[in-house]
Amino acid sequence: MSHKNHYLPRPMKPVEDESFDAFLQAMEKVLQEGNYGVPLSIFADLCTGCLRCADQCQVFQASGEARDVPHSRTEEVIRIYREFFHPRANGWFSRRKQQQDIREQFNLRDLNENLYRCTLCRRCTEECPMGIDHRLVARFGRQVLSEMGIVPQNMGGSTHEQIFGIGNTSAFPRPAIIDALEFLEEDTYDTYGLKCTFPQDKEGAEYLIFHPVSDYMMEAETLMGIGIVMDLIGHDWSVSTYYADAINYGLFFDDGALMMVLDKMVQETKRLKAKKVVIGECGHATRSALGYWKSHFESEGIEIMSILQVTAEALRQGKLSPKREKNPQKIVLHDPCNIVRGCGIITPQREILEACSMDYVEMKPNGVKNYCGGGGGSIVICEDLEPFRNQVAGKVKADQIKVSGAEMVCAPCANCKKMLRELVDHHKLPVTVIGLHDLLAKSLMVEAPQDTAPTAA
Amino acid sequence: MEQMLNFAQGPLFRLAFAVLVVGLLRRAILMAWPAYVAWRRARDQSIRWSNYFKDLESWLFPLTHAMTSRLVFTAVSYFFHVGLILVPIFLADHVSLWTVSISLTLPALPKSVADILTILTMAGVTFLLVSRFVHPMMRKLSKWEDYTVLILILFAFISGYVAGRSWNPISYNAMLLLHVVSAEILMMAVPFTKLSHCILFPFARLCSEIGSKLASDINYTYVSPITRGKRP
Repeated sequence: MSHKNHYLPRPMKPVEDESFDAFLQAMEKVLQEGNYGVPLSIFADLCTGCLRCADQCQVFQASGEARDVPHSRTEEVIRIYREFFHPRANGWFSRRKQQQDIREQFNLRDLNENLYRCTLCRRCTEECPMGIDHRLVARFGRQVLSEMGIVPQNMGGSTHEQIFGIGNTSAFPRPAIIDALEFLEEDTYDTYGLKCTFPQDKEGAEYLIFHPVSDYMMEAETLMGIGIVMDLIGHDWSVSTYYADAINYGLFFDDGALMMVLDKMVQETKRLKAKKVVIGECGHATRSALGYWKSHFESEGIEIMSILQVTAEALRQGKLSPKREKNPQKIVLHDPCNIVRGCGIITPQREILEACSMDYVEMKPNGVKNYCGGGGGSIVICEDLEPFRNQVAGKVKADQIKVSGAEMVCAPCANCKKMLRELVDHHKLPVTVIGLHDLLAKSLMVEAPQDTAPTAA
Repeated sequence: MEQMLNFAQGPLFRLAFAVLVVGLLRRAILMAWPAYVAWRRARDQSIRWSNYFKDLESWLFPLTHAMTSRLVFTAVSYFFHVGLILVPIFLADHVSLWTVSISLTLPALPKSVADILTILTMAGVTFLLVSRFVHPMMRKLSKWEDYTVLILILFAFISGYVAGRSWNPISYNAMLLLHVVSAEILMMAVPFTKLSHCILFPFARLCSEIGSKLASDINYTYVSPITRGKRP
């Protein structure tokens, strides 16, 4: 197989055993532990090659390479399943010739590259007449690779730090988080003229918020916005400084990591005796928490929600009174895949944007039919994939932004914001990227910060 | 000829029908049982039924999907399916075959409607076959099974259509025999080829939802590549 460009997510460590048998062994283990065999056995017989999935994939649209058709991307994995693990693959119906072919053609490097060329956005699944979930298959393939110890460097490092190290993906020590929260308090007053507190480790608070921890460094405005909103609503809320991270890369590559991170969140919530857990502005964190919350044995009695739902609910109840004139620019909304398709949260972000901006437009297409920004499924995390995400995976999104003619792109997701900023730089688009609560905070701003400024709450 | 035709329409037809029904039942059980077991062992047993039915409905009447992309292709494949399902079951001649061989009484389609559906289906198959051949990416991804199945369908429909016409180049019985045999091969192929999607299609979405659920009897842990020692 020869391709023009290789964008390989470098594994953390040199792979010890690249043989096909090692791959089969890992696949067998994953199949035994999970329920992946059920859909795979059906997918193996379903695809008719109609290529609707190709029309939906922004990676294929940009690259035009056969390997980027979702069908052929997942076919490699499905084929191995079909010939080695399908109920009819053994005994009477086993096909030695096909098995031998697969064994000879197997190339771990290519497989790893192809699986990490998928943004796991699920857009193709929505449009597959047969209901083949290419995202699930790609995710299964990554799980098998992870079982073999093949994890992209950045993701593996962050996840290790989060689960076994300091306790968050960015390796912020606790004092740094405390510092950041204090700084946020001061800065909220300086910037927005609103006095609001960022309660730390408050036991018994009703709401416990987990932000994607990178926001503490890169998206201070979003955190301020969320703080202001929570204060104005009058909720009893808190942030943990011991375990503060909502990021859960396990969603992209490993069920074990997914559950261990979720476990950390549940244990921290129980320690602080919170009743409701709120996930900050982050797509994959929202999906991993909302989607798998019930899968944790100890999560019963703790409600889980996204900050978008909390804010939209407050707006509906009239607890917030944003001034739309504060955001007169033309703003286009970007839908994070994990929020719209993954969690079905579609209207809250629109209600919020409608309430706090004068001129907001939709992308075409939008909602559940949106395009991924190009950084989904861990692609934005892997340094090695930077040229790939900017030149290939994000091209469709860049065109969408260009066509919208907006001055600002609003994305309620940390990874999307990072991706879109890179994209805007790379394609030299005349837009700025901003978070949803940043905009809301601006519209809630008090004119000039004075010592007598009204206190929130 | 007469004898062969009688055999094809009698015992062979019953055999083909039995293979079809038993084969599809086997597929259904092979699909449903593991799915049920997986669901029983899932940590989170909730299933989003409303989403599921909405999705299914949107594909039974795929107007919105057709508008999203590939309007012509979607429309052609849709009407091709309509003909492919209705004609073999409800054509007047077939209805009498059902009655004679497995004593099943069904209403028959008017001849003109059946003719139109047949022509639509033949045109549809031809279109799908040609597009599979012409479209560079589709050709790359197609396997021999994809072509064979379509050719078999086309042959069964053409032979059936031509048999009863005055311009039939060979004798009625010979053409009918070709039609019956090819249709029976097709019936027997259904459970073993991609045609089995006729029964798997509605359940794929359900199975992917169940498949993404975590198992309750497994203690999920992550072995970091950094600390990974020698694997046992």
